[in-house]
Amino acid sequence: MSTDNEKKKIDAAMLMDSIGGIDEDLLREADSFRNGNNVVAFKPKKKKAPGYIALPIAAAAALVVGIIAIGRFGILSPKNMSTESAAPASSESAMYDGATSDSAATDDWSYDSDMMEDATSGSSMGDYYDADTNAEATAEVDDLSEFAVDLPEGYTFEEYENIYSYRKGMLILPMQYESDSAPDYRRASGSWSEIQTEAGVYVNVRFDENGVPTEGSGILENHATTENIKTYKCEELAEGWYCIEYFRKYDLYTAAQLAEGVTGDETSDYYVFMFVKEDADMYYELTLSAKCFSLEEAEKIAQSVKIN
Amino acid sequence: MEDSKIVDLYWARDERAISETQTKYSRYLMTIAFNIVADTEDSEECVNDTYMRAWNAMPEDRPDMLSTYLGKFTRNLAIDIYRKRNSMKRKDSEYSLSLDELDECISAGNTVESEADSRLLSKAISDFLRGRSAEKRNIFICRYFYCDPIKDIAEKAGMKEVSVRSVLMRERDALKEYLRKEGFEV
Repeated sequence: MSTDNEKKKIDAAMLMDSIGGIDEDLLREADSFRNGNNVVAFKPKKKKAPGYIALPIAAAAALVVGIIAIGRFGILSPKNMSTESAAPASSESAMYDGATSDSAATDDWSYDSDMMEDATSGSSMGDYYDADTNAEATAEVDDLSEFAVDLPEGYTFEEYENIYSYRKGMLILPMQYESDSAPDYRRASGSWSEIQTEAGVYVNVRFDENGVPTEGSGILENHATTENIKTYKCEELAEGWYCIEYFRKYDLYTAAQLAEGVTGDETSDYYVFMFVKEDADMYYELTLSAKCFSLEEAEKIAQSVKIN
Repeated sequence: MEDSKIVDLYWARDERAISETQTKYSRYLMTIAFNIVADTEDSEECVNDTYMRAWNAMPEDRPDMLSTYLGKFTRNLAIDIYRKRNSMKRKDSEYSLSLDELDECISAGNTVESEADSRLLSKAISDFLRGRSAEKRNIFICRYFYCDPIKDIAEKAGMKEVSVRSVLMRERDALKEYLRKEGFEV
């Protein structure tokens, strides 16, 4: 006959055993946290959160982020960019602070547990969804591969409008540029895209006999200029992956619009990291706004990319 | 090597699966085991048994992510070894400390006996954790799944140890309340 003390020990032990059976996506998130990462592998959800819940939460999220950003940094201003060199000089970021504890994410935010249920059900991997940091709704994205990237606090993901058949992916919010005509991913704080390798004229990536991307490889995009920075082997990814790094400027206005006169930025500027591998089905592209990140900061974020 | 390629090796019954797993995950698994058994030799035994478990479980299983899949095996094996070696006298390890902390969650006279109940309890704990902030969730899992030392958790979280202890205490209380609402007797 067990004593009360022994019975008590068994109970706590059973609790410990049951903790061993928790969902794997929770373990992956904790694993990433133990490795010092800020953002865990994100799998887009199949379901869209109810709009009537998402909208006020999204508005609240945007308001808090805006208040914190203005209070901490003053009016956000674009970084000074050199237009003469291929690798623009880095300057102090108006927004980036990877070590800050100031964040729109606080434990005091309320959230809708039903939305959590909708957001996290139906996936064998499970979806990383932190109600306190991702309070706005995430949209549907079908069949986007798993990836992970460390972003500083204050940045969130949202699906971008898929206007080009060869790419699809996620915006990194908040938005940074105004434009009546440029696609969302050319106006956000950045983006993550999957690029079909067989997309014909748009995807111009070639490899030499050693599987190394040749000079000039990249994506051909309209209304954009590109300056190569470097190409290097990705030590953090599986064998055969390379990163083509370049600086890209997108036109935010057509010539006609410019002739009519515009205020604000005429181009949106990004550091682009394109992950390619010979014979891969997909390439991947991370873009980071030069308004938010210096080259060094962007490269550090790019090094955190993991593709499953 | 990517996890998917390692899993392919297991499925192909290629013994390189074990060596690739070892290369990629031995240190990770050793940490989990050592946190529980606090003994290098026993930790090595756990990790070696983990590889065998994985070999026997695949094919059938096709895990998305090997780290957590293998981590669960190692944790269970380590807890079994801990209990076998320490049935007479409890040895100090992070596992035993975590166990003492969780004692606060459970009242005497309550057991979860069947495997079905244990699975229900696991699901309830998962649901509870999903309702917490990421920071609290990760701290909880680091302490009670991985049995990480408080000091290490504090370093990862950028917090003081006393703050981590405070978070854990509040999370245990919240878990107790949650389980009670879900119909578990605590």
